[in-house]
Amino acid sequence: MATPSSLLLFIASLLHLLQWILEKSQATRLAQRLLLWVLAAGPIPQHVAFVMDGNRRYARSKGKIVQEGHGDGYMALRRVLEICLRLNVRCVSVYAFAIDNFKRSPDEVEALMYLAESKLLELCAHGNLLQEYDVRLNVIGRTELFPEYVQKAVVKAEGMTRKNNRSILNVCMPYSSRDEMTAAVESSIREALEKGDNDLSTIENITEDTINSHLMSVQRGSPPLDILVRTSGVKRLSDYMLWQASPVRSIMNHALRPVQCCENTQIHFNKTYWPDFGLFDFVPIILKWQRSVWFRQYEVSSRR
Amino acid sequence: MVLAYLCLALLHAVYSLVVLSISFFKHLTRPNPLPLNASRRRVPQHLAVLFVPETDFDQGTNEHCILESVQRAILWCQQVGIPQLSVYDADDIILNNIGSIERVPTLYSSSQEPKVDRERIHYPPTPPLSDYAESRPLSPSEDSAIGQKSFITLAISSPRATTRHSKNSGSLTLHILTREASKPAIAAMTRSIARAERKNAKSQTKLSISTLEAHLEGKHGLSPPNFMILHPIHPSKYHRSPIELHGYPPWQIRLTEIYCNRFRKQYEGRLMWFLPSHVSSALLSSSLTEWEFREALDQFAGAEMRLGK
Repeated sequence: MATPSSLLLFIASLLHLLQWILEKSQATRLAQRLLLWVLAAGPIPQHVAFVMDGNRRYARSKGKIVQEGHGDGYMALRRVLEICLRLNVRCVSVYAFAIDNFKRSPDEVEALMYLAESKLLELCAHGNLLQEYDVRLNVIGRTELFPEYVQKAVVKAEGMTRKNNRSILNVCMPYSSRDEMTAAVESSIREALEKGDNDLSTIENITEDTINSHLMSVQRGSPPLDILVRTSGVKRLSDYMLWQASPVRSIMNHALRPVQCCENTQIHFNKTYWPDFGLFDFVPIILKWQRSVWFRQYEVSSRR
Repeated sequence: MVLAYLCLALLHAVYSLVVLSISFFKHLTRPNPLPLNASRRRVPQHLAVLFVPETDFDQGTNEHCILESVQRAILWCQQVGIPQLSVYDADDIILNNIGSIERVPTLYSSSQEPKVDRERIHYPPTPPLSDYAESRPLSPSEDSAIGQKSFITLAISSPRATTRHSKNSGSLTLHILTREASKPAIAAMTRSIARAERKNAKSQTKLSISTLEAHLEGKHGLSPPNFMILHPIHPSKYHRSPIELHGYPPWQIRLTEIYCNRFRKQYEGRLMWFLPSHVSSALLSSSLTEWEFREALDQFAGAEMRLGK
């Protein structure tokens, strides 16, 4: 009992020491890039989504005010986004603001609105992250619920990155998955009614794929969701990408079908508060993804 | 490139060691969950159990484990006082073996036999909306015309011995979900709304979340679970890959707390990789255990719900 725990403590302290040295020295950036270069040699997910949870608990634990917590959360977003882009992840989605978040105190909501306005424009500005990595920004959600100045910022920011097409950043705000599904159902119906005037077959041809293709995130070019990360130890999806996170892959029949690798969504519940989330939290997630891809490839090849 | 690949292999090896030691440590230090009948701060009102069958195992093993787990879950839910239980697997194994679930009494002594009262079969809302809104249970003879069932509800009455907790303790509503209850049900609802809209062609289709909620969760719909236990039949293999939802009905899992035990039979799995699959399937497959169930209840009792605030 004592031996493994002391061994583990030893390993943990070694890792912490290593992390500390890396943080302090100028070598950090270089070491990170090396690590990411190594990781990028294996399979890389196409679409990663984050529920950026824990800003307020982080602020409380550090004795900061809530607004500072959100500010640090934005810095974490920049950090994680850059990691993903260096790894060539094609699409990154983040849950920035839930429709339900309007229920929070007016002070906090207002501060978040100002943060959203200024940071959206900052991210998209000339020479900043999104331009450097050729990323198109999509704001997914019911933006009409925002105050006017934020709506203007959204339009402007999206316009600034419209021509970029190497990667996609979906900032989901004010978003809820049920709202996205409802809108998809609604537009599927409209399309069917417009197309086939008096023809029932267009209606009968509505399938789950039809609805899927009408989801706002899919229409803006997002590939199927590969990984969903929720931070701060909460083990719920809280109305985020419910449809995308629950794809079906029949296990029993999959020997009979042409198997596509990795059509499932891996869900990670991470204990770290979002502002603390960084490379050392993200690397294990990528490693697990790579294993499951290799494992599935092995399964498929051994079955043939 | 080759160098990067070698480094990546090394990284994976180191990571394996770290994971192994951490999980070993956790295995030694994990606390024992509270007993089944302990009073917890919160008990789920609707529990879902999602089973993940294993490709490497033969069908019989998968069926046996899942059905045994379902029977156990029914028993424990009655003991704890959970009034609703949904069970789901992506391959409809439970549905195809529904007969064995109706024979639940084997779990009890003969004096306290629970009875499966009535059976309600829910179809996707394929008839026009107006028909659907009426409470019109469809007869099974229409089955072939309509297509697959969406889910089946069984009412299981309580064994007398467990009614001491509260008045509704022990009686259980069991939903057996099929693949059709998932996204196909949303598609079916979409078609039925579209058909209704086609008749009053003038109006512009406007839907709200509450309209859809009424369709999907209402009288003939499926209520959302507030807790989900993810139970892979081959835990040690599943341990290597993260949680997946395997097509569980997406609309309903908005606020569902999710539990998955990642540490069952992990070492056995690692030690027995060389065995032929029919041998290892007998040794490694596992049904839901009471330990797991108690730990899950503890997690649910400790969860904090903020609902966006």
